[in-house]
Amino acid sequence: MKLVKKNSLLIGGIILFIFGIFADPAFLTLFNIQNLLRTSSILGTLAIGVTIVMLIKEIDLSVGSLMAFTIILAIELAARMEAVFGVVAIQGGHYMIHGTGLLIFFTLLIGLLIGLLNGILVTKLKINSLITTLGVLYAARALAYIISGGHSIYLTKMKQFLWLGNGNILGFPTSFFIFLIVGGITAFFLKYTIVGRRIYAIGGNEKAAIFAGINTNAWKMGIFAVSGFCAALAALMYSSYLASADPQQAIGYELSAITIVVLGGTTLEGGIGKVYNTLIAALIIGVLNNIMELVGLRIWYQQVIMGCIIIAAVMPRYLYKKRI
Amino acid sequence: MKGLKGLKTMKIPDNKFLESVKRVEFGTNAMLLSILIGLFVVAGFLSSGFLRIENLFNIARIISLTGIMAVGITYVMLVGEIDLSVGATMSLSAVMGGRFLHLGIGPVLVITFGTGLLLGFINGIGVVKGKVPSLIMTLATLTVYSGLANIVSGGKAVYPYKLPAYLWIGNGNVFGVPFPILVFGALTFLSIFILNYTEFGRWIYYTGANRTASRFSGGRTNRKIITTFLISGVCASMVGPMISGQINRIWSTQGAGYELGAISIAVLGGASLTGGKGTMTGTFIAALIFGGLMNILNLSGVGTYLQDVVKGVLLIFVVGMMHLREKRLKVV
Repeated sequence: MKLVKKNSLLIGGIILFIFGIFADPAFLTLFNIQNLLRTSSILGTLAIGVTIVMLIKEIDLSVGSLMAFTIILAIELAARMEAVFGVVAIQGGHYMIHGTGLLIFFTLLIGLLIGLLNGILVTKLKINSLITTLGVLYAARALAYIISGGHSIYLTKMKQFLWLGNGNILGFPTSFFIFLIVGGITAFFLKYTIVGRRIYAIGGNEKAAIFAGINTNAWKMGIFAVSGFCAALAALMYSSYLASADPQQAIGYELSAITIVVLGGTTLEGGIGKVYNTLIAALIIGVLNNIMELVGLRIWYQQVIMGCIIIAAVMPRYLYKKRI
Repeated sequence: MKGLKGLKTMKIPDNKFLESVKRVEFGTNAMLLSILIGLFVVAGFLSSGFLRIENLFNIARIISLTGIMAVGITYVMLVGEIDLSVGATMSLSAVMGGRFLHLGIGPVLVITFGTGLLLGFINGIGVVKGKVPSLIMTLATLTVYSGLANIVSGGKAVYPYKLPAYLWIGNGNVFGVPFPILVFGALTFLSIFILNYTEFGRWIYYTGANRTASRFSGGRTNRKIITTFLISGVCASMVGPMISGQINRIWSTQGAGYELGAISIAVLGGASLTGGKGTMTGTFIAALIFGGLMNILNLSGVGTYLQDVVKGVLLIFVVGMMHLREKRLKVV
C-alpha cells in the first residue's frame, strides 16, 4: 500500500495512458507517441526551470513570453550579424535560410540574460518575483510583437535546425532526449551536489540560509537565469517542431508549466519538491493534452480542464497543512 | 457578517500603530499627487492638446474602466492576496449577461453582476477553504473563466443594440459627465469611507497586516477575505457592460489584459502585495497618473505594443521605487 502511495503520480499517469489507448485508436501509434513525447518535452523543459525557481520560494511567470521573445530577438540578431558579413539570412522577409548556429547561440544567451535580469530585479531591487515576472511577461510579449513586426518567421528551410524538434534518435524524438538530459542533470545537481543543498536551504528558510553564510542573492540570480535558459531551450524545441517563430506562440504556457510543477508536488512554500516528479507530471500533462486533442475536445474545454486540474492538484497538498 | 450588514461606523480612537501607518500613507499619497500634478503640467506644456477638456474627459473615461477593477483588486491586495482573474471575470460575466439580452435590462444586469459575485466567491472559497495560494488559484480561474467565456458565448459576439439602457451604461452622461467616471468616483469615495470609518474596513487592514493576530482577535478573517474577492468580482463585472455598451458588442475576450493595468494601478497607488498597506485614495490618484501616461503615449504616436512594454516596465519600476522608499522609512 505504501508503494502505491509513494508512486501515486506515476500510477495515475499509467492509468491515464491506458485510458488514452481506449479513448482513441490513433493513440497507440508510433507517430502519435512521438508527437506526445515532443510536446511533453517542450512543456517539461519549461517546467524544470520553473521547478527550481519555485524551490526557492519564488515564481517565474515570464517563461511563456520568453519562449517567443528569445527566439524572435535571436533571429533578428542573427540576421543582422550575418548581414555584416554579407550573408542574407532572411529571404523575402519571412523565410530564414541561414544561421542555425547563431540562432541557437543567441536564443540561449538571451534566455539566460533575461533570466538574470529577473534575478537582479528580485534580489537587488527587492521586487516581488510575482510582479517582476508579470511585468516581464507583458513587456517581453509586446517586444516580441514589435521586433518581429507582427508576423511570423518561417524556419522551414533550415534543415539542420528542424532536426532539433522533428528528428528522432533510435525512434525517440530528439527533444525528448534533450528533456531527459536537462531533467537528469538538474535532478543530479539537486540531489547529489552542494548546489542542490544550497537551493533547498534557501527555499526552506531564507533567513536561516543568509545567516548560515549562503550568498542567497547570487544563488537566486543564477536560478532565475537557469529558468530563462530553460525557456529559451523550450523555445528552440518548439519553433523547431513547428518550423516557425511566431510572436504569438506559447501564450499561456507559463500556466501549463506551473500546473506541471504543482502536479509534481513542488509547492509555493519552497524547499519541497523533486525534479523526478516534475518529469512524470510533464508526461502526464502531455498525455492529457494529447488525449484531449485526439478526442477532438475544443481548446476552450481543454482550458477549463487544465485550470481545474491545477486547482485539484494544489488543494489536497495544502489542506493537509494545518495553516492558520 | 457584523461589519457589513449594519455597516457599523465608528469614530475609532487612533492608536500609535495606526498613526504611523497613516503618516506613511499620507506621505505616499502626497507623493502620488505631486507626480500627478507634475505629469499633467509637463504634458500640458509639451503638447497643446493635452489639457483640453475633451482630452481630459477622454483620459478619465478610459481609465475609469481599469480604475473600477483596480478598486476591487485593492481590497484583495489589502488582505494580502492577489486576483489575476479579474479580466476573465469581466469577460465571462459580460458574456453571461449577453446570453439573456432578450429578458431586458434588469435581468441582464442581475445576471452579469451575479456572475461576477459567483466567480469572486469561487476564488475566495478556493483561497480560504481550499487553502490554495491566491496566485495559483486566480491563475487557474483565469484560464477556467476565459475558457468558459468562450464556451458560453459559443465563440460568437452578441450585439445589445436592442437595449438602449445597456448602451447608456457605456455611453451615457449625467450632467455631461460620462457614467463610467461617475461610477469610478463613487466607488472610490465609498471605499475610502468603508476602509477608514467602518469596522469592516478596519478589519481589512488588520487582516492584511497580521492575519494570525487578526484571526485570534476574532476578526473572522475567512469571511473578510472571501468578501474582498466578492468585491473584486463585482467590480470586474461592472466594467463589462461599460465597454460593451459603448461599442455595442459583447464578446468573449473583452477582458483580456485588463488585469495588468488594474494590478499596476493598485500597486502604483501604494498597495502592498503582502497586505495591510495601501489606500483607495492612492489607487485613485495612481489611476489618473496611469491614464495620463497612457494618453501621452497615445498622443505621441506610441503603438499599442510599445504601450504594453511601458506598462510592464512601469510596474516593475514603480514597485522597485516603493520598496526603496519603504527601506528608508523603516526602522529595522
